[in-house]
Amino acid sequence: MNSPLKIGVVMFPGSNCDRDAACAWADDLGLGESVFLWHTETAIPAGIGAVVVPGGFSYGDALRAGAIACFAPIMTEVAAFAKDGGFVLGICNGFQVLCESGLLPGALVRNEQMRFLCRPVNLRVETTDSPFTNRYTPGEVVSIPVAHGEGRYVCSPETLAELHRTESVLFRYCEPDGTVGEKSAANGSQDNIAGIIGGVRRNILGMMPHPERAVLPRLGSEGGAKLWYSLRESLAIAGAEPVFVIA
Amino acid sequence: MYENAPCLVGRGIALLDTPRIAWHNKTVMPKVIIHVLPKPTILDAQGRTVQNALHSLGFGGVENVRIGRSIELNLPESFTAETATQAVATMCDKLLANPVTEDYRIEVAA
Repeated sequence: MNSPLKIGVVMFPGSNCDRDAACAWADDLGLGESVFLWHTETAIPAGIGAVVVPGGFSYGDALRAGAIACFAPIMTEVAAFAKDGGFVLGICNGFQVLCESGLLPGALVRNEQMRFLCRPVNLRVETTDSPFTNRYTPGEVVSIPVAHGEGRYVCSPETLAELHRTESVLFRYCEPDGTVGEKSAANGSQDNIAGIIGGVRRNILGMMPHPERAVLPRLGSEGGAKLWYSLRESLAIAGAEPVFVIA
Repeated sequence: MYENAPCLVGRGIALLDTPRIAWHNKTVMPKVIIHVLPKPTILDAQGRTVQNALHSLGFGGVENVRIGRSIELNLPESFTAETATQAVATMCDKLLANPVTEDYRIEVAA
């Protein structure tokens, strides 16, 4: 168990979930160490096994949410890290940044009903064949909060078909009993998509809900804890060389 | 008119800096206006909300309201209309528009 269990959490001007993510990993769950990566940094320190691109309003959401953050110096490093198979987890604004960077397909646009949604939602775990969900059971329903104004996932029909073909949809909004209805996604997300996975080794996850805010019963839910446990297990198994290869 | 305006610069207030530059600037920098609109295939939630409001105002026949943004910028005078369009198209592809959700139109004004 001497594998790298250190995560790096990116900080952009306007990030506001960076400390939550670092705290969830290192303190609430005690899974390892968290270090912060300032947006102007030009290298990811050695020993970091996973990078979290956190939620918030990077660069004040200027132009489009996540559009400016792509050009921050640290994102060049994060993109290289991701392309080498390193685990990258984009949460909320982080998901928007990963889509804008082209590391994940599709885009996130204004919620269908034009409201900022801030509340717990039910998510169905669509596949456990990923470094981020291996501790869940397939079809498990978890409660994790969302907090976004631009979380409606959209992509081309071809991309959507490809996502389903490769089992790249990780989380979908659902009802408490696990059924996915037309109205399950309060934000109007295409196909009720809440989180998708990409990268050569299924090593890049983008999701709108906040797993770092749901790791302890006293936070209202611990539905997100297994995601961090999954990541820890993946890091421990993989060491420096992730092994989750899916064609 | 400008010359007669009280000079506040010496007191640390550069209120008239912008007109001064415009006044003496004899060259014309190409001005470009970029119109960015959500693709017709994407539901424009903002446009729909405004369309409903227009219907409430009595403009019942209004349809296909879409809301985007327009971006104005000036390019160095070395640009021609053609090279300006090319450069701005690259800017749009890389930053100013999201190719997944938005279309853009470039208008070279000068």
